[in-house]
Amino acid sequence: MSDHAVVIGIETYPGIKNLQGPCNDVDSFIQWLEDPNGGGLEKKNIAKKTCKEFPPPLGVDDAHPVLADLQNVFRPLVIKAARQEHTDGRLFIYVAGHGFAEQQDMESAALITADADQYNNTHMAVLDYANYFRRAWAFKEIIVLMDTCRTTNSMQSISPAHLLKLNPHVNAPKVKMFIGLATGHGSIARERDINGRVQGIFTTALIDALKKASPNRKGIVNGSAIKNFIHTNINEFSGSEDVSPPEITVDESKEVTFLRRDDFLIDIKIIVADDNIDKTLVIKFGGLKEVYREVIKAPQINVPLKVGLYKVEIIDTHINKILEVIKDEQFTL
Amino acid sequence: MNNSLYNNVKLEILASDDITEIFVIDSNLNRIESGVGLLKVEVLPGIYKVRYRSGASQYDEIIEVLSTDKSLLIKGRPVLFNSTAPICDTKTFNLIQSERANRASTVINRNVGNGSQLYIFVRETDGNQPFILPDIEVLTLDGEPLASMNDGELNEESKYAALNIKVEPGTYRVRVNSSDIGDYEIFISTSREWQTQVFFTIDEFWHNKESTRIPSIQNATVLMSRFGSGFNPSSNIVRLNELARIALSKRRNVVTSRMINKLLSDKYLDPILGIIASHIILQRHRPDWNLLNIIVNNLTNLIGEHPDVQAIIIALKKRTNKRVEIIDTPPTYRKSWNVIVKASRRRASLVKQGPLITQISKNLASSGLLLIHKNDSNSQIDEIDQVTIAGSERIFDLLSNMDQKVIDDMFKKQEIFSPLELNLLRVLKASKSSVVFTNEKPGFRRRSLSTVNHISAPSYSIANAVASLAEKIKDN
Repeated sequence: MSDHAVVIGIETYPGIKNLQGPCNDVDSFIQWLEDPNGGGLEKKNIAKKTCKEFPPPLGVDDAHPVLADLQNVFRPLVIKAARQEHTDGRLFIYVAGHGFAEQQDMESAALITADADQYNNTHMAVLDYANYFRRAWAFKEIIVLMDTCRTTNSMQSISPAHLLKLNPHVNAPKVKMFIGLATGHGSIARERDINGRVQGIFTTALIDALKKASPNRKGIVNGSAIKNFIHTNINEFSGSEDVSPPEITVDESKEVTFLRRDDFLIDIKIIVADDNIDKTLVIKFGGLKEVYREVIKAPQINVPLKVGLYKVEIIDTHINKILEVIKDEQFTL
Repeated sequence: MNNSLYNNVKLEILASDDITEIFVIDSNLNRIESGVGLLKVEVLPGIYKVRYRSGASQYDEIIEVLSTDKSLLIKGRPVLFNSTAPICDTKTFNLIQSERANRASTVINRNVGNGSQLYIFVRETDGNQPFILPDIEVLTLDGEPLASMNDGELNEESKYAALNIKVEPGTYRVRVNSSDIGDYEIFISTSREWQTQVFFTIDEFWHNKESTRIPSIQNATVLMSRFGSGFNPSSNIVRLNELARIALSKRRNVVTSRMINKLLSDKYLDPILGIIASHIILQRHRPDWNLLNIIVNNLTNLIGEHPDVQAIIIALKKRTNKRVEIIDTPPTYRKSWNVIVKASRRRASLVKQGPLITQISKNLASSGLLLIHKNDSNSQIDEIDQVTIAGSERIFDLLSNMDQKVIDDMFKKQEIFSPLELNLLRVLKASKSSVVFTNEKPGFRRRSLSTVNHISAPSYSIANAVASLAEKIKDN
């Protein structure tokens, strides 16, 4: 399988307002892409473009990346697609930066380029690229992730990408799609300091989901699993920010594969009082399915558990507790 | 847990109000059900997470459904959210401000008319910030000052200011003045035997890399209560109103028939809630026109003629027996304005031409739930009378044939143009950068220039702006 990725991060916007998170987000996502236990992509197949590759701009006129820079990142893949070269693999398109949506189109989203100002709404219609590759059956699976705002303004409309209007390939309907947008139509996507580093809240929740979301019975972490995990846990990263829910589109009949693995296990520490030593500790997944039963030998018990809701009981006592396992944590019974 | 050894348990989850969204999440942390206000679902015994969401705030509660349960009722506590009005059970609740807001709403500070009241309450929610008297004025639509916060009550220690004036039923400008970022206005309507309440919180704004703290006009909350009731911080209707406002701004579809029926049967309905609920219904793919008709009838009975109710009547088109001949006062809500603007594309005479509508159209703030415009007392209302729509379309066609360089040169002099004229200039620039072969009719309807129709200004305002733009281009 030959997977590819186009990864873009823009945080320097001399004509609007700078961001602080996109390049950190790009680093995090590329780290996951390259991880053999993550996306498993070869380095050479990851095309990256961020503002860090350019000298700090003095003003809007020398700000980068501009639309042409971004078009160049896509260019080799665009040409291959036009030549009807099919890749039996996935294409990841990840972008982080300022963005907006079209007022009349609830599904729209665009990435604003570094040279934008209040009079020149320069941008890239990222979703047009995804649709182009789909029409051309250029990849088997296409995963689009956009950590951008989707605010609307009646005077901002998304200009179509300068791509050939290819007729849909006969296999185009078979392409599996996943579109993850950081926020709902008309809403703001947020970034914040998380563990000493400014990051997009959506990207942080995404990376956490890629690490922890449960695989299905075939060991596949699919689009639905990632979507569910993000929706359920994004609040873990939002801090005091009120975050609008991300808008994630998956087709359950054509699930994309993010990765394959066994359940991700989290080390949980359970602390019990000394007088419970020699009694039996039982942990039930969902309160019903027993996944752990051991005699307590010490006041601290370390148990690896997959993400989920559990009930912990000490047999022959009234001691019990419900646990939500989503990160390394210590629970006292 | 899919285990046939167990029987399903009827789970009923009741949120603290009818607008809070409810989600049920299973032990694998997958969302399995959702609803608004009340959720009834059958589940197998197990552990579940219930999420309550109001606006952009939420909290989770973990519940255990036992195999011995036949049914289980879960009652959620209120979701704490950021509220502009000082209402109970919110993140920004402040007991003193809340009590004083209630008390001040029953005291008249100034009498400039009879029949209705306009109440303004401004507060600081950041305990570390000082509070100084905010510069807010109430004016007639013609711009005649009626009262300012100086006429009301100020409490620097408890960080609030309040003003309650008796006025004739009608529409008034409420202006927030700031020497740093400019003066912005909203339009507040009062109705006979009702008090219209406007709440502001102080927020930080940046201008030229310097910060200033002034009342946040885009987060203002508008409520209405019957004479003598005043502001009730613990009222369910007030809470619903604030939540509906947030839901509308976040585009959450949280208005259920159950909630509407409950509100309609409630004789103390806050008309503003009816207006917001109508806009939430209108933004659905298939609005419930019958329900909207009922709401409009109810609102008309409660408050009579009101610009925002008129906007909903316009949105109903021929689905109602009511008809709006002309709009001569601006509405409170931006969505109402958008409805009016859209309707003016088919019937330009719907919106009465005049300096106020022209001024709003020219200086409309780009976003917000309320119709906000920048009051620019220095800008002249151009005396270009009676420009016909057809005439302005012809002028625009001529302008669209201008050389690209001329348009670029005009952008360098952008300070001479109003925001509306600049928007038109942008459309001209955009039409230059795309090649369109068309046999369509000339004018704004031409595909290349159809963006003009997206400008949030009534047709005659656009027509006037086209004419004034042409004049300025000619002079420069």
